[in-house]
Amino acid sequence: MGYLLTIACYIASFSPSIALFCSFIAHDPVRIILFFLGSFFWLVSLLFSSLAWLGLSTVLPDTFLLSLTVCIIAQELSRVAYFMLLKKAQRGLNKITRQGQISVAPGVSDLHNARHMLALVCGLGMGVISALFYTMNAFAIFSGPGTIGLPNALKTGEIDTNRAGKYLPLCYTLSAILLTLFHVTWTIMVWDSCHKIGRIPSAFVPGAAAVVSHLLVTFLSSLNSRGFHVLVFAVQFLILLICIAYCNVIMGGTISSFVNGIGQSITDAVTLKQVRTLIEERKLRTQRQSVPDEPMTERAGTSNTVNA
Amino acid sequence: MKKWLVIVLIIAGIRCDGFSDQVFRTLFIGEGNACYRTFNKTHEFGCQANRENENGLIVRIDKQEDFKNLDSCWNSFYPKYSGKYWALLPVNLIRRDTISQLKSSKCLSGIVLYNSGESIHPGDESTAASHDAECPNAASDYYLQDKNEEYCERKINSRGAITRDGLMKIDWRIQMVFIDNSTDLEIIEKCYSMFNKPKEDGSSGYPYCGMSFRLANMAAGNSEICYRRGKNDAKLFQMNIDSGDAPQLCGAMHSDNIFAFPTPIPTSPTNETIITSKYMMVTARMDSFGMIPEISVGEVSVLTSIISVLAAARSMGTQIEKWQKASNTSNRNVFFAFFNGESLDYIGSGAAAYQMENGKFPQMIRSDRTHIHPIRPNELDYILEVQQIGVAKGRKYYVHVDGERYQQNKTQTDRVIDRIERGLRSHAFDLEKPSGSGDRVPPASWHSFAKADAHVQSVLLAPYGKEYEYQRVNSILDKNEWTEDEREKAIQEIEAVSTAILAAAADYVGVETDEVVAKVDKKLITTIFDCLITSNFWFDCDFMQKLDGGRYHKLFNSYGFNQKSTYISMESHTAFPTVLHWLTIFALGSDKETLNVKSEKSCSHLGQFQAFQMYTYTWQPNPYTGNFSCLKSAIVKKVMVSPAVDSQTPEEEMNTRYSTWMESVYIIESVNLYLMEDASFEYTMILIAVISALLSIFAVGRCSETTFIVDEGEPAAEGGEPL
Repeated sequence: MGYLLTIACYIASFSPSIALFCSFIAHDPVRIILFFLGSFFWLVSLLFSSLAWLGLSTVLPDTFLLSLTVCIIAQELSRVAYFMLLKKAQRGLNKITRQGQISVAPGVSDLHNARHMLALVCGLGMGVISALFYTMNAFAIFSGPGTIGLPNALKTGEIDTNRAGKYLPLCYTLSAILLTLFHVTWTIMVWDSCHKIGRIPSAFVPGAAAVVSHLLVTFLSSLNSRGFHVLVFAVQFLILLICIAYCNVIMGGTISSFVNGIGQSITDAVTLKQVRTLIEERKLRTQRQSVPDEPMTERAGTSNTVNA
Repeated sequence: MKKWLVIVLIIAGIRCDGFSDQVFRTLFIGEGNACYRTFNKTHEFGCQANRENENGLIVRIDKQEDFKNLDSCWNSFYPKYSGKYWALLPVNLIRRDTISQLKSSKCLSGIVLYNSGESIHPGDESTAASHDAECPNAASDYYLQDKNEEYCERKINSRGAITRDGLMKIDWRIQMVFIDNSTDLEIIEKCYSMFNKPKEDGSSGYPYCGMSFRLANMAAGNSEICYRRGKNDAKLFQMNIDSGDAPQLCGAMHSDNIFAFPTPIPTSPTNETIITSKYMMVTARMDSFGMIPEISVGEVSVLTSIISVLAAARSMGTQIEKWQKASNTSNRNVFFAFFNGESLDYIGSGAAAYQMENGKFPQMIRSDRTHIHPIRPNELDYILEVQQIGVAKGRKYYVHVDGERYQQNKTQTDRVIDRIERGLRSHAFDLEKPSGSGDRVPPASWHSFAKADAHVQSVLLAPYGKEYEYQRVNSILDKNEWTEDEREKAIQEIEAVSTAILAAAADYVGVETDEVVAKVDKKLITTIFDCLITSNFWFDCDFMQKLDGGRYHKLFNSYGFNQKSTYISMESHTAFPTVLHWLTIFALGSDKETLNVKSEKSCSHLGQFQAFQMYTYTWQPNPYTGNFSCLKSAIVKKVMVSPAVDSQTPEEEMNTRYSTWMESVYIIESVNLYLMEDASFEYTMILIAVISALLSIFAVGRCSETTFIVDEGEPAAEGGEPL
């Protein structure tokens, strides 16, 4: 183990987050603030969870499942709280971000119809911080000479291969990726419920789906310690796909459009569409460059001369 | 407000240790249990942690044949592993034939030393394991400095020495740690057995059990550099503004020396008259060392000799009036000196000789108070030293003198030797007398005083002739398993030597010899032998527990304070000087004049508020009854620093007449055991990282702002209030 492994783990874990951040957040100061505010809300939820855990552990002998449930509920409540805060602040934000006038903060995107974008930004903030908290201790250990498992092995007399081993960095990396993307989808779902509550009777469905999937994913991950890594990751990935598809529906798409989109993406990836597009664009640029800018003037000049 | 305060306190009370408790099994290593840097004037020795020697896979070297694996770097057992190793090695395998392999190995991070449990007896000749040089203290030898001899001409320790210059004079590339705690050792062994022990077919695989350890020294180079850098004017910018102190990088080796004066001569109140007396100094060294300096009990190197001197002192103390009377008549006195740091170029005796030359021994004089009269080098007639008592071959002892000086004062010295012989013969031991003018004194405290005065005579009583018989002088292995016969013989030898000391001292002072000879307390010798040598710790026996009387506290987490060690060290972190001080007070102290003193406070007041500062008053229990009393004695416990490295004596800076040994200040970390995984998976993870990055760019690249900004026909959202 070494620093190379730690760097590789961080790159692999946070590549999706970095890509999303660079594409949708980095250029907008307001979104950056909202991103970090999302992180803060998640940290507050973690603080309340740990206090609850501390309190419960003084009363009950085994508080694992109960504490986990409390933790998930705290996170979802923090999402609701964040929504409420933002809702109160949106009028002010709108003044800053309104286009077509002299903006207080130039360079910000306007908020017209941007509730899902806001959910993405804030959800990503929550996802990144939770993935960071989940992985950083482990990744710090991977940079050292040792890996997890010896104290327990010396106690029990045998090594627990489900909690240790050389694939441990991969497990942490996959979990971090899933966790980040899940938080984005859960925020979109919960905020959709918050937005529609009182307007339509089925408004609670996305929120309930977020809580249920959050619980399911979390309890599934507890099966990792029993050695079902592959199965757990497969199921979690499937749940993520379902969540993304559901978010697509929330954002006005359909299941078929989602499936088509994925199919198209795979086709484009296999046929290297982006590379082809790039080459074509370059060709066009080259062709444009080969046509001189001045001929019209020259022709005009020439015609003038001729005319003369 | 109170609620917030409670919340803050709860949060502050939460401790997070990350995952380290799931990764590392930590074993605490106290100060002194590991090899660190030491210096003399020209070189640095010992161990230092660096990036190359911190981590390694644990392997075992249990027998001689296992050293072959050092050459092949255990490749046949761990073919997929290319890092370094920590070797678990019993101390008794550090021998002449193995030390070079340990030194030259390129695949060792370090060695974990432990006591094998194999019993070694005092007469065991198969284990030549002296960690001292072939010529101990060769650089400080009187004959070398007086140009009478070449360096290391007389290889007196050649039979026992592992290397020519000794193991303390090696600059190791590896680290060393000593595990004394059996539980810790079992954990390391279990870790090795579970993960690293090759299977029956010789194969092994990941994960392996690894170990890391780090001891970082603050100083480097040599004593001269260290001394210079340690001066406050050289560290002006590092100085603490509040305390005015600069951080210490290294320090001179120093500790308490004990000087006991049964018949002290007071200074005159007005300091007008200089009293000239003659002295016989009865001495034994109180320090030893090992490969890891502090791991050294020094049973034969130190303790047996000290017991014989203590027994003689006790005998003298019980009839002190006779000695006092004889001293007053003859103007000759006997005093006892236990020098510390003698195995490291005579630190204690060198400093004492310097102080004698400057009229500061044993105490600094204040004109308004009465002290013990200063002793000058020319007042020393004899230095009667005893060494390595208890391991004589047969029943023969040797007396060593300086041939030239012996010839100058042959008659008187012969008389002293004759009394020694009588004392030994009374216990059926023989004495081989000096052969002639060519005799040289083996390494002994006399060398320091010989440089100060041309007439001081050496009478060194020891069970060896030209070479040491005992092969573990100054060694971690100077710790024996004594059979009943060996113990009995050692006690007899101590008794005989003690009698010889008394006989020689009595004759010198003028006490009737026959009266004294019969009065060495064999029972006391047996008791102290069992307490200091057979017991696991100084205060394990009833005698010492009563002598302690609850006064000893293990204040420091150092080897010397919690285990039996006679190493001098840089700080006074060893218990032995305290032990010896109390024993000396017991031997020579008297409560005849202080029977009315009933409390510790009034006892200490006796010593503090008097102009008569010759005696000390110690509130100490009787080791037989446990009852405290106020003991009056003329015993000086004094920290002695070699003048060459003492900031108080700048005129002697780095003078090689004196010891220049210094020690680095160091930071010691715990031993961490952990599991090592196959590093090849690193490359797989890098590939996964690249794929993840490309996929992310591809997937996110297909989305745009319009993917997430959807016009749902809500007027407020279109107006800029999306939620």
